[in-house]
Amino acid sequence: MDSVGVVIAFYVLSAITIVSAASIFLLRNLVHAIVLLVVVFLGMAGLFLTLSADFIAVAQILIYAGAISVLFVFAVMLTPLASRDNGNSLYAGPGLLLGGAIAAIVVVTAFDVEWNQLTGVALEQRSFTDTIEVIGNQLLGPHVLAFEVASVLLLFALLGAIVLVTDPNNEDGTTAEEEAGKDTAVGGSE
Amino acid sequence: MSTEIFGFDGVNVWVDGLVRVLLIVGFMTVVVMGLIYGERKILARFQQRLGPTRTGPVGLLQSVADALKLVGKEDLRPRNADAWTFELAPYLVFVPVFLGFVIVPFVLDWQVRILELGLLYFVAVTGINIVGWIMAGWGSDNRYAMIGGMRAAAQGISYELPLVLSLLAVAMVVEVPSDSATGESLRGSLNLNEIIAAQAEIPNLVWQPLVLIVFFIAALAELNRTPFDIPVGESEVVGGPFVEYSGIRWSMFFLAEYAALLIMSLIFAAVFLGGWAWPAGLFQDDPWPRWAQALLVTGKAGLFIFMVFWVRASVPRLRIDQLMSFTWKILLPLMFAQVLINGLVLVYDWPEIVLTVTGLVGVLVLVMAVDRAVRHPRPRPAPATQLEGEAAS
Amino acid sequence: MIPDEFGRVVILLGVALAFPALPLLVSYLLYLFHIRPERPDPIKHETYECGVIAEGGSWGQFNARYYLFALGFVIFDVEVVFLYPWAVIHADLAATALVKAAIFIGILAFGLAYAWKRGALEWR
Repeated sequence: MDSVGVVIAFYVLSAITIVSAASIFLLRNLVHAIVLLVVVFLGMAGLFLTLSADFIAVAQILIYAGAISVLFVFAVMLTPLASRDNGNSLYAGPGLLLGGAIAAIVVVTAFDVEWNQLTGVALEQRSFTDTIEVIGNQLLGPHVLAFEVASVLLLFALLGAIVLVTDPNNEDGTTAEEEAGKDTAVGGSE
Repeated sequence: MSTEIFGFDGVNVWVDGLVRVLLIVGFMTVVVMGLIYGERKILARFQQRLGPTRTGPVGLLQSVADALKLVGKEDLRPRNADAWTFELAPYLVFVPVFLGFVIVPFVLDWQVRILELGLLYFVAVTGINIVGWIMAGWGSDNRYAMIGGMRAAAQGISYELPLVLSLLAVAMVVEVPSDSATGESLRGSLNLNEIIAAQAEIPNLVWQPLVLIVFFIAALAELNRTPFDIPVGESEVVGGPFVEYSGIRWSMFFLAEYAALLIMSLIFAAVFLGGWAWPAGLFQDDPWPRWAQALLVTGKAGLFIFMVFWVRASVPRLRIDQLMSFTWKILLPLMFAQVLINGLVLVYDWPEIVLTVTGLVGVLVLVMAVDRAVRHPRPRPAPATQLEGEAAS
Repeated sequence: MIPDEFGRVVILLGVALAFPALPLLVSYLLYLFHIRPERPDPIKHETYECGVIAEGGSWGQFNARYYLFALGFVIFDVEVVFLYPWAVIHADLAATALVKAAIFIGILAFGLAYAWKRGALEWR
């Protein structure tokens, strides 16, 4: 599989991903950072593609670039830091340090592990046209518990979001802010 | 390395690729211009007007005139706008839509690339342009644009779920011989060519009527088409995310919108109406010649586009609470039920007519739910602390 | 391998990135030859607000519902991605696969029903 094109694609995509990821730490503007985050996700999807992991690549685009990024945007829009004159980048230094530390761990692990490499006959025996069938058989066969646990995990995330937005003391589901707002902000449009 | 294109042997693969892509670009541009003209003419007929008549014979050159005007207009950027996001947003709206053309099967063996995960790729890639809408809204530094961008994102993500689930339901019922077994066991497929080939005799429209309708509704919402046009509604947010765009940048949004409509119609034709294969498969085993296939696909896609225009002329805009309730409370549970029923029918080898019957029952449920909502409209929920429940000032 | 498999996709990506720049370039050329107007004006570059000068910035804190719906979308999107491999291979596996997927969908359908009952799906 190691044709010239794949190697070029690997280096180009890696460069795009790393540069964008590093810029996220340095940018002061949260919306710019989110756009670069989307670029990072797309670059990673491309890297998965060079590894012939097509299903993971598409899932990466669908979930991270399409869904998580929108979630981030909405989260950012809830904070005053989304305004464009935001001068805060308090955590740039610690962020870079932490990111560098994690990157170092990953690099050390990657070089330390004896990776199983398939070559020759073994590689040909393992060839398959598309990964989705293999993933499906694994997911519903040996790893079915992980499959079901994933749905429980997702359920808890959903319950958490509901609790976050609705007021538990109020069965008709009005939000806590609304209740508070009724006292102060009657007709208060400036 | 060489390949064959249009009967010419020994064409360099890169030349071949470039020819294909440029053909698609040309096709898209011409069709988009035609669609803009067509939409104005068809809408005019619905409203008992004439539509464009002045430029060229029966106004045929209207789109060309529009394009020339837009190129010649001053390219404005508001002083407060954020330069990077403002200028890059049209790219992020257009490029994902254009990337969707990779898997569009125009005629047999003629597309950019056959992907095994074609359908999933399509929804994943076209979903990225939501970020572009938000960028356009935020970058313009305009309240209308901001509200429009947020609405576009909220609507886009909410209706992406029924869209993805409807394609999942179709992928299940497409039966393709599994190559791992001896051809006896069957499996579903996400590969658009296999999906079309499997519909040579009976299109999915027959087996999955509910899925077809849900796909159509979700597609309308993804395209920000009436009745789901609250992000761009002229009378509410004056164009939403594009309010500050003018001239050539604005035309890129327009191009992206109509290109998305074109792709959606081609996918609809391929997934539900059998693309180039049906009804040719009824009469003979070999597919029809390419020009007939192209005509067939164009006709089917044209049907979808005409329906979109028809709905636009007939249905008023929905409120945001109605919009959200519709997808989360009606479409999503219906699609989950459909997926499980598809599973039951396939696993227990029930006759396929069960699919048609349950699909039609689902359509009835959908119609009744909509009818009930129309007859007994719920009052708009009291606004929260914020104006319109959206933006605080 | 690359030109056959993904070469066309790479070309399409290149054209996709270049194509929007083309009209911009034409527009700029028209400006260079003084065909296109370019008359900056402070009022023209104001933020559009129906002719009234805009007060304050565009940014305001948005309704927390947006976040809830986005989170719901992420959750169900992940679910659908898990279901896709099942949908493609399910006919190979017998009824057990259907039961497994039904449990998976059921758990999340419970979450959706709970959200509905709690009024979290109401937009207000």
